[in-house]
Amino acid sequence: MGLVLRALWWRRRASLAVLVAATLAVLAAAVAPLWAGAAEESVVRARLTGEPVSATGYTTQRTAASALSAQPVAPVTAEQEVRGEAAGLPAGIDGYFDDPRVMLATTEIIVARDELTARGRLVWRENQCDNLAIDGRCPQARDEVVLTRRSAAALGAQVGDELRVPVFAAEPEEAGSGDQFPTLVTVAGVYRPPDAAESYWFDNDLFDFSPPAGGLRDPRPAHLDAVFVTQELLHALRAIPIEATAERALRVADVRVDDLEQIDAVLDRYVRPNRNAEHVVRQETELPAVISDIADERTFVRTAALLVGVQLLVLAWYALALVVTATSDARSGEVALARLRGLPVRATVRHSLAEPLVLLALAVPIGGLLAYATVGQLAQRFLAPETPVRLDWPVSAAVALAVAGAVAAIVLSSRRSLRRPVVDQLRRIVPTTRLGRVLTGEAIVLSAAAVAVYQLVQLGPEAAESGLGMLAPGLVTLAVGIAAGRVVVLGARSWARRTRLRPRVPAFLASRQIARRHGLARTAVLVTVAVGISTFALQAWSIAGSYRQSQAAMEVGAATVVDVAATSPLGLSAATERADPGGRHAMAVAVFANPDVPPERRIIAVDSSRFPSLSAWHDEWADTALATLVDQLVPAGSPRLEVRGTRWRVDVETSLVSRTNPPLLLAQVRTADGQPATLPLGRLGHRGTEVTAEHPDCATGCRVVGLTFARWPGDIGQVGATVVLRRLAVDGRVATGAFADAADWRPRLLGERREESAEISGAAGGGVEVSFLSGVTDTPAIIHSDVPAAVPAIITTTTDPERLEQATALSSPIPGGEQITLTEVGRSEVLPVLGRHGIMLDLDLAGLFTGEEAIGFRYHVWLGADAPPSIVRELERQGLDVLRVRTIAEREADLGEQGPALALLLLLVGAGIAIATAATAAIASSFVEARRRAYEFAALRTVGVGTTSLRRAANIENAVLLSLGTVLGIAAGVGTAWLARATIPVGTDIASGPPVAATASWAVVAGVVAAAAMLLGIAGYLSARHVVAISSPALLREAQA
Amino acid sequence: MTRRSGTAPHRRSRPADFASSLSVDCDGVVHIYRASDGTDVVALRGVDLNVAAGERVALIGPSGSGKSTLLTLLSGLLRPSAGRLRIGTTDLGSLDERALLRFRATGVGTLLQGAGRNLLPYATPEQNVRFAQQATPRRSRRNLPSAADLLGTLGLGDLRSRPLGALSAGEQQRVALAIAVANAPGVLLADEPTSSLDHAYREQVLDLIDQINATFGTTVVVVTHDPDVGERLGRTVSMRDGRVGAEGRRGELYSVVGKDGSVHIPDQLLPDWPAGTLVRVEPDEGDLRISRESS
Repeated sequence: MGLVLRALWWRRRASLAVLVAATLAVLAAAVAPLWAGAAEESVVRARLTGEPVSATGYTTQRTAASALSAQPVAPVTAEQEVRGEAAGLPAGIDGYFDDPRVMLATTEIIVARDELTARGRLVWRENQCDNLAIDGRCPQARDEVVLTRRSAAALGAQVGDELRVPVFAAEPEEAGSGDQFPTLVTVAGVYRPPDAAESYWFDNDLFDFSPPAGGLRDPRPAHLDAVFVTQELLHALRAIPIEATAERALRVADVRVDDLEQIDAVLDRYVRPNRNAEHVVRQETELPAVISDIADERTFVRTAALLVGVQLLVLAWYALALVVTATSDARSGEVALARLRGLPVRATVRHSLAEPLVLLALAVPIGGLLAYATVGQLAQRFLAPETPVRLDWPVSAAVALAVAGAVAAIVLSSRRSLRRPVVDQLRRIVPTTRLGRVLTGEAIVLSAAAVAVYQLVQLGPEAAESGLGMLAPGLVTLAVGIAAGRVVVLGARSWARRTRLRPRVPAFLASRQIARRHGLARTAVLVTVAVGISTFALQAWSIAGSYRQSQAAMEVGAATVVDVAATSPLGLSAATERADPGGRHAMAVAVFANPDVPPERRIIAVDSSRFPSLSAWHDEWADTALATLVDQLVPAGSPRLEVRGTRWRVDVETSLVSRTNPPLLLAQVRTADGQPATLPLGRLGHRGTEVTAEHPDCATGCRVVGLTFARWPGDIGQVGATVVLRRLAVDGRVATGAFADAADWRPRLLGERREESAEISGAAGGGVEVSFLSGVTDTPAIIHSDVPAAVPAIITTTTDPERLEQATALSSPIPGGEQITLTEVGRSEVLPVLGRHGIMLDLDLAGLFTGEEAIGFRYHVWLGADAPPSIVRELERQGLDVLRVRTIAEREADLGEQGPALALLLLLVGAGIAIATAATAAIASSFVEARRRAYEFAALRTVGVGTTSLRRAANIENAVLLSLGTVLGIAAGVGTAWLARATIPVGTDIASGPPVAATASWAVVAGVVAAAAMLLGIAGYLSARHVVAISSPALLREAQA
Repeated sequence: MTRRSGTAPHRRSRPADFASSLSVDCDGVVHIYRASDGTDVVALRGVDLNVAAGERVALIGPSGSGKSTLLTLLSGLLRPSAGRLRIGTTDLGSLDERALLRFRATGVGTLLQGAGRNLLPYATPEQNVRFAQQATPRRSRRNLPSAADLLGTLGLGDLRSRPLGALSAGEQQRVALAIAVANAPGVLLADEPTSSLDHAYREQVLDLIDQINATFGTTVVVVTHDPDVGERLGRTVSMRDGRVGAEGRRGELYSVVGKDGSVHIPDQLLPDWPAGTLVRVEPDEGDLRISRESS
C-alpha cells in the first residue's frame, strides 16, 4: 500500500484527475435517484398541502331524519353514527388522519329581528369556541347564538338582543317537557373567525355572507354567515333536517411518498361511494383522485430521473473510461516492467489495478456526499419546505451501478495493458484500435439515433412513452459526437498533408497530434455530447419556463387578479371604471365557467378596450395580433343611447291599425349598476303627441337598449300601429340623436311566432317611423343598433364554428327577445382562464345579454403589472367585496414545484454535471498524458523548436478539439430540442394548456457557448501551459513513466 | 576455424544462494516480425552464438543489425521464428507464456536502455529491488539477499532510501543494474548500459558489471555501440544484417563461419571487396585462403 500511495502522490495530477472523474461518475449516478426521491416527496407535500383540506380529508355524513319521517333518526344518533364511522378507518391508514371532528348544521332557515329577516344556517362545530374570536361570550345555554359582525348588522342586532327563528315553531315540543319549543334565541356574542381558510374549518363555506339585494319589486334577504349555537340546541331539534358531519383532516406532514400506495389501496377497499342513501352514513373523500394526480406528476419525475440518470451515467462512464485508459496507457511502462521482471500475473494485475481502485474507493464517499449536498441545496431552494433527501435503495443501486461501470472501465483498460505484447509496451508503440469493433459500436449508436429521430418525427408527443424516444437527445448528441470524432481525425489528416507544403511548426505539430492520437478524438466526442446534452437541457428548461409563464398567464389572466363579489357584469364594469377611471390599471372580467357547463359554452367577458394593455396575453396563443383580435369584439355601430333622470317624456305620433288596441310603450334599459329594467312610459293613444312617466331607476344614468310596444295589461290579440317617434327627453334634457336616424334602430317582433312584420324608416319632419303589426303572441320592438343581433365572439380553435349555439348564460337584453347568436370574429389556441375550450366576449355586450341575476358568473378585476396596491382598497370603496387576490407569479411558482418543472430541473443539473464531466475529462486526459507529451516536446526542444511554437501547437490542438465539440454540440442540442419539442415535459396536462413555443432560445445558446468556451478554454490553456512548462530537455535523462 | 571457449569469469566470494550462472546457446536463430505496413522483416537470419556460463560478452554492431532483437529473444520476451535458443538447459522456444514469465523472473535479468525505464520512478532503490523480487516465488524469496543487502553488496547501500530524482544518471543506472540482478539471474542482459553517460559514470557502471560477474558469477551479455565496452568485457560479437559476423577476442578480430558456411568480410575490407565480387575460397595448410577471381 505504501508503494501505491507513493505512486498516487508522484502522479498526483493524474491521480487527482482520475479521482475527480470517478467522483463525477458517482455524483452523476447518485444525483438523479436522489433528486427523484426528494422531488417525488416534494410533489406529494406540495400537492397535499395545496389541495383544500376537504379534498385530502375523509368525511362521513348523515342527515338526521325528521321525526315525521318513516325512519326517524335523532341528531344525537346521527352524530354518534358519523363519529363512529369516521373513527373506524382501517388501522393501516387511521394514523394518517386527525381525530374526527364533528359538525351539526341545520338546513338554511329564516332568522329574524323585528322586521328584518335573513337566511342562514345554525351550526355547532366541535371546539368552535376555541377557534372563534368573540366579543361577548360563546353560546353556553341552549338559546344562545353568536353572529359575525356583518350578520348582526344585517339584522340590526347587538349582543343581548333576541332573534326570532320562526321555524322552531314547527318543532313538536321541547324534548320530553311537553312545552312548546321556544322560537327566541339571544345573541351572546359577535364573532370573527381569525382565519376562515384555516384547516379547522374544513372548507365548509360557513362564512358566505351576502347582503340583501334586489330592488323594491324583488327584494332578496341577506344571507348570514354561520350562526353558531350549542350542541344541545341542535340535539333538541326534531323537525328541522340536520346534517351531521364528521371530518378527518389528513396529516400531510406524516405522509411520505411510499405511503400513498397503501392509503390509496385501503381507501379504495374501504370507502363505499354507493352508500349514498339518506338513511345511512355517507363516506366521502377525494384523496384517491388527488393521489392519482400525484402519481401522474411522479411519473414525470421518475421518467426524467431515469432519462437523465442513464444519460449522465453513460457520459460519466465514458469520461471515466477515457481518463482511466489514458492513465493506464501512461502507466503502461510500469506494467511492462513488471512483466519484464517476470512478476506473477496476479502481482502484475494487483499492481495495475491498485491505484485506480484506491481512487475509486475514495471517490465513492466523496461523490456520494457531493451528490447528497448538491441535491440538499437544490431541495432547499426548489422543493417544498423540509423535504427530506433520502439515501434509499435506488440511490444505492445507482451508485453500485456507477462503481461497477468504473471497475469495468478500470479492469478493461488494465486488461488491455496486460494483454499487449511487452515489447510493444517497452517500445511505446501506440496500440491500434480494432476498427471493426469500433465501427460496429458506432453503427449501433447511429442506428439507434436514427430510430429515435424517426420515432420523434412520427409519433410526436407519444414518443415520450417509448424508451428510444426518451433517450433520443442523448443518442442524437452521441451520434453527432461520433461524427465529430471521425471528422476531427479525417480533417486533421488532410490538414497535416497541407502543412507539409507550408511548414509552420505549431500547425504542423497540432495537425499530426490530432490525427495520430485517438484519445484526442474521443475528447472531441465527449465535449460534443456534453455540450449537446447541456444545450438540450437548457433549451428544454427555457421552453418549459416559457410554457409555465404562458400557462400561469392563461390560468390567471393578468399580473394580479382580484376575485370580487359583484351583482352583474355591468355593475362590475361600472365599479371598476369608478375605481380606475383612467383605465390604466384595472379591468373588469366576468367568467361563466361552472363545472357543469359544457366546455364549448364557457364564457369569459372582458373589457375589450383595456384587455390589450392589462391582460397577460401571449402572442403564441393566436395567429392574429391581440389588438386586431380584440377590436373585433365590439362591432362598429351607432353610439350608445344614454339618459339620466327620473322624468321621461317621448314625443310621439301614433296611427293605430284598425281593430287593434293601443300599445304600451316600454323603455328597455340597463341601470347604472348594470341591472336590466323595463320602464313603462305610457300608452300610445290615437294621434297622441307625448307620453310621460316618472321612474327612479335611471336617476344615476341608464342605457336605453330598446323600446317595446307591448299590450296593455288585459288586452289580447294583435298589436298594430304606425308610430312616429320624434323626441326623447329625460328630466327636460333632450337625448339628442335618439330618433335622428332610423338606421340607429332595428325593428323586431319578439316572441315565439314572428309571423307578421315590423318596419322602420325616417319620418317626414324628423324622427323615425315604426310600422308594425304583430301576431297574437309576439311583441313589436325596436332595438338600438349598439346592441348587435349577433354577439361577436373569439373562440378557441377546438370550437366548431358551425356549432356555435346560444350560450346558456346569455339571454336577450329585452324580455322575450330574440334568440342570441354568436358570430365568430377571431380564433386563438387558448383563452385566458378558460383554456382550450370557450368563448371570449366583450364585457359590456355580455352584460347586455345576461339576465337580472347573471346566474353562474364569477367576477374578477384584472390588474396590470404596475397597478398600485391601493387599487384593491379602491375597489372595495366602490362596493366590491374582495374575496381573494391571486397573481401570475404565485401560480408560476406553484407550477415550478410540480413534477415537470422538477424533472427539467434535474435535466439542468445533469447538464451542469455533463459539462463538468467533459471539462474534467479533457483536463484529466491532458494532464495524464502531460508527461508523455512532455517527452515529445522535450525532444522537439532539443532540435530547436521554441517553447512558443510548442505552446501554440498545444493551444491549437485544444482550440480545434474543444471548439469543434462545442459548435457541433450546440447544433446537436438545438436540433434535438426542436425534434423532441413535443416530448419535453413542460406541464402536467399539455393537452389542455397553451401551445408550446418551441423556438430556440439564442440567449441560451450564447450562454452555453460562453460557458463552454470559458470552461473548456481554460482547461485547454492550463494543460497546454503545463505540458510546455515541464518539457525541459533535461527530462529526457530522467525516468520515464 | 575452431570454436573457442569464452573468457573465464572472476569468481570471488559468490553467495551460495545465488543461482548458478547459465550458458547461452543460439543455434541458427531466426526472427521475423511483421512491420506496420504489413511486410515481413527478417531481423535475425540464423544467429549462432554460444556464451559459456559466467562469460562476459558484448554484442556490437550498427543500428538495425539485430543485436537488440537478439537481446529481446534472450530475455524471453519474444520467441525465435526458427532455430534453437537455450539459456542453460532451457529451450526458450519450447516455453509457453507462463513458463516464459517464470524464466524471466529467475533465469535472466534484463537492463533496458535508459535507466529510467528500469525503475519505478516514485519508489526508492530499495523499494524497486523489493518490487522486482516479487517475481521470485515467496518460498524461494527467502534465499535471495534482502534488498538492502544486495544494494550493500553492490556498493549502493548509501542510495537505498534516497528518492530516484535525487540520484545522478550514473547512480540511477547502477541501481537499475542492481534491480536487474535482484532475483539472482543466471544471465544479465544489458542493453546499452553506458549510453548517455559521461566517462566517469560509464566506468562506474562497467565496474559494477564486473563486480556482478565476479561476485555472483552471472553470465553477462551486453548490447553496445561502444567498442571500448566490448574490449572491457573481453569478448565482442559483431552483428551485421541479422547475423553474427565477427568476434573479437583479446584484441583480435575474427570472422565467424556461419552454419551455412557464410563468412563476413570485415568492414574495413568491404570497400575493396564489394558485394557481388567473385572470390575463390581454398584451403591453405590448415587455413582458408580467399582470393579474387583471376579473370
